[in-house]
Amino acid sequence: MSYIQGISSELEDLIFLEDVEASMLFRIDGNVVESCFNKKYSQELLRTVQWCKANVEKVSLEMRSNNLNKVTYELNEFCVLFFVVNSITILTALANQNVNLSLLSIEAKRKSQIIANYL
Amino acid sequence: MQITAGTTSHRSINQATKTIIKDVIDNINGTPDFLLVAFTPNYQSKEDYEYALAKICEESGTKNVIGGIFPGVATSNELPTTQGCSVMGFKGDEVQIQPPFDYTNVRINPKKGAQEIKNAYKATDKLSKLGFFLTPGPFYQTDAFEQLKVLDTFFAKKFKKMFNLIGRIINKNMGKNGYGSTLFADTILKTLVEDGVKNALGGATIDLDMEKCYQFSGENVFQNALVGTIFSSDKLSFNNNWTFDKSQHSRNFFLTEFLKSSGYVQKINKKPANEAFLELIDISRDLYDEAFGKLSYASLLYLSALENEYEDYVPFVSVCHPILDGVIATVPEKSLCNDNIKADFFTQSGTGIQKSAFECANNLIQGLTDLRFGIFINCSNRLLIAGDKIDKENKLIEQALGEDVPFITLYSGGEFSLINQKPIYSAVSIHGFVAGEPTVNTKNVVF
Repeated sequence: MSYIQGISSELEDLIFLEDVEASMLFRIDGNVVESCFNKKYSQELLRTVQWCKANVEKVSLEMRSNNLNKVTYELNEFCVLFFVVNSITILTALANQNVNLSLLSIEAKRKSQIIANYL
Repeated sequence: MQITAGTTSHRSINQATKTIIKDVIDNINGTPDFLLVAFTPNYQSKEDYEYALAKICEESGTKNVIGGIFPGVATSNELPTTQGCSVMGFKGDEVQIQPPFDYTNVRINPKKGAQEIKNAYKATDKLSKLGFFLTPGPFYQTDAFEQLKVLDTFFAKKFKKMFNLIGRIINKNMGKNGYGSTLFADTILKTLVEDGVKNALGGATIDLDMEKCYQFSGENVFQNALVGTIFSSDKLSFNNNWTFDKSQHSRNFFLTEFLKSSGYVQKINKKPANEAFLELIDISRDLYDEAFGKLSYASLLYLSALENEYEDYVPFVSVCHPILDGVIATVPEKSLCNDNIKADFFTQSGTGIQKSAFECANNLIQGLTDLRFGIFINCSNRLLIAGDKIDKENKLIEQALGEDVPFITLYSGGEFSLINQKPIYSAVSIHGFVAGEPTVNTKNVVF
């Protein structure tokens, strides 16, 4: 399995969690390394993805300067979770607002560690 | 003695099973004597779990398997997962692990379930013995609370004796339908004490949606069963213990009116319990519903505790549902013996939880050396409070036990222990047991 297939499989695992709509691996400059979406995604979700893409650089800078591992935002009826993978990539999970954030963050932490091993 | 443990995560149960077989079972030379298998509930269908267990039994060559579903599972060498499985495999003569037993009607007849544990316990005459069992967990469906509304009526407050019986019938009916609380576990523990069983550790399987929970025995997947085994040894000693986060004690209150049989509290501090409970924790109804609605309205951060004959504080969970005037408390019938019972509030915190896990593990190692393995039953509420910091708790357990000691942690829906015939049925707590060689006390003799 190539490293990109491995990453893709890990991201796909996340969208099988209840209420998770999309998962993406961003480079801190905003470029998408890999992404995975639920089959039925809405325009609203795409707008939130665009927001993530536009802001990931700012968020990652903030995370790095304050030594944060995880940041959560609530916007457009979605919950956005950023999780640091390594110094240049960030795992992002988009879920609807009913998501159980504790359970999602446990799995996101595990996935970010596995993805870091691929990179 | 060979002990292997591992955790894997994957969206497909087939893939997770394949990986865990490779990582854990294939690492044991030959056929393992016993496997403890824990899956997360996300795979949902009973058939999926049956397929996974059949595969594990086929590939390992043993049907000595018990386990169940838990919202989170972890082992010493891996981060916890909420989408996968953990397995611990045992092989060797140092510890004898009996073939699994099961009893499929434990909610209705807990005493018969206890009988199964007792029979297996008495069947071995080794020096150290410990019963290990898993049960169904709390299992409230939406209409379950409707049935309890009758306990709010004027008559229920007036005719206590009669409504104690009605409460018991409601609970029994819940059991028949396959849902209800885990108060039956207290009956199991009390029966075990009467039957002379000294040490046991147990936990309740649970899905946080409270829609289903499964227990595994061999290739079988049950929905309302007790499954278990007995660990015994002549060479090793077993220590078991428990604790919870007692670091933030906030205030006291009194249970002033209640129905013993169903753990239904009608009044707290002489006020309707539902209203008084929200006042005590200083939270509005809306905020409480938003925070705990998805967890069957069980208070998560606010833990109440009662004193009993064995312990200063034994914590219980309060279910504060909007359609009820009272509060459902997971308090065993025998603890509700007076008219005015003092309870204490403890607020749970991430740091407190970590410290209590370390305290539990540290107590477990007293009097033991060369530890072989550990099994921990940790509350799923604690998993939700800690979130992604939950691995720190396991790191602290590792720090107490030692780096090379394999252990498994199951995040359960109720934890119970029998510690030297002292029954502990508690909530939001961590219970554990470790196996190791007893420390030999050598005395310096001066001639």
